Amino acid sequence: MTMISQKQSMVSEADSARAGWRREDWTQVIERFIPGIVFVTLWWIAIRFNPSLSFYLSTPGDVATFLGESVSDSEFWRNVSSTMQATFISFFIGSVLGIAAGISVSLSPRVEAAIEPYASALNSLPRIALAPVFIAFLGLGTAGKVAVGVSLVFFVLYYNCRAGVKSVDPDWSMLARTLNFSKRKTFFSLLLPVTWPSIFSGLRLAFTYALLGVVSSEIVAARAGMGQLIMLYSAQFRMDAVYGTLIWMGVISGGVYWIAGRVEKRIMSWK
Amino acid sequence: MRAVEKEVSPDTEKACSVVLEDVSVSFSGNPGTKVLDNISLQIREGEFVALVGKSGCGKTTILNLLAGLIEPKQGNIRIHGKEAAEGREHIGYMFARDCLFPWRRAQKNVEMPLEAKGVPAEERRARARRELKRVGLGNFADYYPKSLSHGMRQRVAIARTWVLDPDILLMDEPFAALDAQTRLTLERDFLKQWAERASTVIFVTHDLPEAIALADRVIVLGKGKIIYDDKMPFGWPRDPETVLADPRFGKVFAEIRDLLG
Repeated sequence: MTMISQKQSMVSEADSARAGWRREDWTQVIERFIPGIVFVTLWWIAIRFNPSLSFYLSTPGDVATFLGESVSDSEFWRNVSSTMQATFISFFIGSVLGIAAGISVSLSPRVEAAIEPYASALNSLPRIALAPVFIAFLGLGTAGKVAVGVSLVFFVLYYNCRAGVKSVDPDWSMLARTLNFSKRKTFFSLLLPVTWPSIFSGLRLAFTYALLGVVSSEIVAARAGMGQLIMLYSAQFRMDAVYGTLIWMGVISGGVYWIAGRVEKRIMSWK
Repeated sequence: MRAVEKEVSPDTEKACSVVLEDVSVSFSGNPGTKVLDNISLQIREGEFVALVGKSGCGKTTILNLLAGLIEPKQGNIRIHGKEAAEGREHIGYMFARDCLFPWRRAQKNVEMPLEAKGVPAEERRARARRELKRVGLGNFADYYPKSLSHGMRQRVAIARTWVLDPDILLMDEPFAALDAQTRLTLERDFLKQWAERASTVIFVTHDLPEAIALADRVIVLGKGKIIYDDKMPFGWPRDPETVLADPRFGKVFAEIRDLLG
């Protein structure tokens, strides 16, 4: 009896989700816009009362104009694509290396003992300090930025992976032993599925870190990129352009973060 | 108390699914104290044996020995008349916690032991589906463990244990984590399945009434030794609830409780 009623309640939940948007959903969306509207209003009021502030703060109108014009500004998008290209490359390389290192270290305590001290020392280093070194070796193009990005992304995945492997429930390992799982089977059917959620949340964070690494490196020195744009615009005191560029950055990396979240929800539907 | 038979003739050994001879186990950290102290024990084919005792008395250690999770310090273990490592082929082990993998649907959890044995996918699916039906979860094959109740999850775990058709079933307090009502239902269903399959069951519990109500034979362990070993007078088929009301239940219960102290 209880089973049947539980099943019915699940079905009815699914039905109501399919029924479309209700009033509460719309209220929720509107509520989400309130902080943004309040912020822009305060910004506008501040400049209204003290126009000289617009020298630092620019104005909502000017920033909006910049954003509008930037859409069709090919020079602007050349810089954006330079940054994004480097970000994706460092995201990819750093993730692959970090996951590989994290898992292999977790599988062998001896490798862990050998590598761990160096890993934690390197990870505590402020990576931006390495940017001049990487740029000196790899130049002002993509390679130098990618190196800084990789140096951040690698450790995010490395440590997330290790935390994931550690979250294997001892009872699950015991079950695997009583079922005579081979090493291979234990890896693919137990270790990897257990580690997946940590890897995924690592990947989500990693994109933000990749962007951080790349933009920092561009600010130190680069031929092109959004970091260079920000340096250039702020040197010229074009604050509307600085804020506009920052907003684009937020939109792009926030968008990727959001999409990753949706994908994660899909893949991790068992959670 | 019935005397524990010491001699094992080759004849009786054949009919025994599990034989322990002078087995001792001590833990590596503390070799002085023995978890099991020179234990000898024979369990017949198809017998339902409950192991009872206070925590730390070595109940679970016996199961772990049989499952091959630990090795005895001395003594000999034979399963189906063979060396333990060989005879262990068809053992099922069930724990107090369901140990379901949360990222696998119920069906896939039940298939798992078959995957490890290399059973082809088609057959795996059919067998897992059949077992789920037998535990009353035929309609829940595609559910993830998070959407199942406690009792349902334990049923999936039971299906996962039965799916290998084990001839020896090791159960470590399999119903301990359930509420009284669910527990009774699961106990009844389990007895029904056991009657259909003729497996040997070695059932660890620290719930004495449960042991008496379910088992053919109750063995009490104390300080690493067997301090009680006798058949239960209730016969088959039986219902765990009616056993509790049987006048003979009180007598057996009192006797064992006094031993446990």
